Amino acid sequence: MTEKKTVVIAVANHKGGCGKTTTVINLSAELAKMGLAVLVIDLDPQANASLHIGKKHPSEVAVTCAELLLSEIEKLPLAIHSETNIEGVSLIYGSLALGKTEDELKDDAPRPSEELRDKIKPLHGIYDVILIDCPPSLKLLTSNALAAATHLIVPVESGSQYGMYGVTDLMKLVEKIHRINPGLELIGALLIRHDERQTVCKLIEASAKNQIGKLIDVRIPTSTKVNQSAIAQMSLHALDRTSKVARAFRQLAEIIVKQLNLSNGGSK
Amino acid sequence: MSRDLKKLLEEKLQQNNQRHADASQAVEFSEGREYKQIALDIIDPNPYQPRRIFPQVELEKLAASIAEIGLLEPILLRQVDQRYQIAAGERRWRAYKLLNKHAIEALVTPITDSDMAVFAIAENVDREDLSDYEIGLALRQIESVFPTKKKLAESLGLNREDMYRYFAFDELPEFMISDLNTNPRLLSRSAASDIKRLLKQQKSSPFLNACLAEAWALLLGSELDQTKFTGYVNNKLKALHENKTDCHIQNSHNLIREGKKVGNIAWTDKHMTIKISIEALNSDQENQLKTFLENMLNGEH
Repeated sequence: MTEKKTVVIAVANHKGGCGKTTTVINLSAELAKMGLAVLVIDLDPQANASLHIGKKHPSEVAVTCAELLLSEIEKLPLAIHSETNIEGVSLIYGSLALGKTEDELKDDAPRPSEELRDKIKPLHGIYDVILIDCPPSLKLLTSNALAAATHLIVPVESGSQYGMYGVTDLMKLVEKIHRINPGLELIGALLIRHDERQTVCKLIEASAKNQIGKLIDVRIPTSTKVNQSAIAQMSLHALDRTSKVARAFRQLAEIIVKQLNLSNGGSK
Repeated sequence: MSRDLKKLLEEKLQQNNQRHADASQAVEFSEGREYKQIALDIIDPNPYQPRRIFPQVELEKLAASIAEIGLLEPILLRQVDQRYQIAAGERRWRAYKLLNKHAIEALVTPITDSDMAVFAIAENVDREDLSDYEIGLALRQIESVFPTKKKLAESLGLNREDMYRYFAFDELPEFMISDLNTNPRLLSRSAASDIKRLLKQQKSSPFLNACLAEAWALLLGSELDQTKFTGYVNNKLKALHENKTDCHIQNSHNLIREGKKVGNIAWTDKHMTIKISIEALNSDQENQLKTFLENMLNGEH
């Protein structure tokens, strides 16, 4: 049996509230539904992805990303939790302590942006897809995600000027990251909270394509279901698979599987 | 929205928020540090300070040196409400008071209770002038600010065995403690831990208290070294146990002169003992007694 090809997708944008966590959770759920082995890495100190899909509260978890980044690689098996609120999705928890971790990496690590890449190397060949949820900043945690990733998705809040400012800065960081991770490939910008009837959304759609270069060919609509799913600690698929927003994430998963040539693991 | 979903969301929301509120997550915040002149009268000693006595002569020497060359290093304080507590530099603060100064230069920074405790002890553990007994008391005083004894030992750089030697003072009998309170150097921690062990091993012995008291009196009189204390008691106990039957006093009679006890006569299974204070008889009387006894035992009268 040949070893699996593993893609590592960073979901990054330092604009807060643009839909990073929502994208990671629902994309992971849809990919798992398609039979792929999926791991979510929560690099955000707010740990919202962990609070949403984790069975435990992050404060009860012995080895989160915070500990993993600062410890020897032997801790990796302890960091992976295969039981989550979404079947087929494993999780490395985030933690409030990640803020401190970032400072310590900066002070102590010889190659501070490459710790995550080294720590998750052994997972290549085990998972089909690893999704990294980034914090809303452009500091070390995000550069660790970008250095560890093979691919990048940039969620952009449709219609938001502020979101566009953020994208410009992010692309500058990506350019720098290419020095240590030349293979990092942009899948594209993902427009979130999109309403095609609104002029601002149409405007941003055009300028996102222009600024980032690639636009993923699916729009995630505004929906109250997103907030409901966070409360219910479910994926949108589990909450209401027929809703428009759930269907949009399914479409996103299909696009990614096709574009990255991911074979689904067979079992459905 | 269906009624079921609404109810589910309502419940879940409450659960989620509760779970998050209950989680013990530390939030990072550093206030930083600040150099300041602080008035002497709003400064208090470290609440965990084990040292009770600051020799006046030393303070005067320190004050003289400060008067000469000034304060070389600011003292370390933390703020508690409107006042300040000393983490390091109590002697300098006292010397400043001797000099009738108004304020002292200090570095003010947030310090946790456990760090305050460590500062208080660590400064003293290394110095020779604090006795083991005082360190033991201080350890007891601060142990509650540490989650475990192991953490306490680690914070102070003590090994666990050594820490438990300090704790051995707790197990000593009342009369030893009261003497230690006035003279803390009577016992080292290893002597204390030896005595603790002895108490445990010999706890069933009926003579233990008497032997301890006897050895303690010798120790107080500098006739018995603390390192030989338990050996002495053990030997005593051994001897007593071997003659146990002999020691069981069946009957006794006090010898009184002018209303004052000067001796006694005691009977055991094997012996009758006549004990008289050496001062109660003159040498003539002693000889008379000796002759009387000899005659009686030989059947003459």
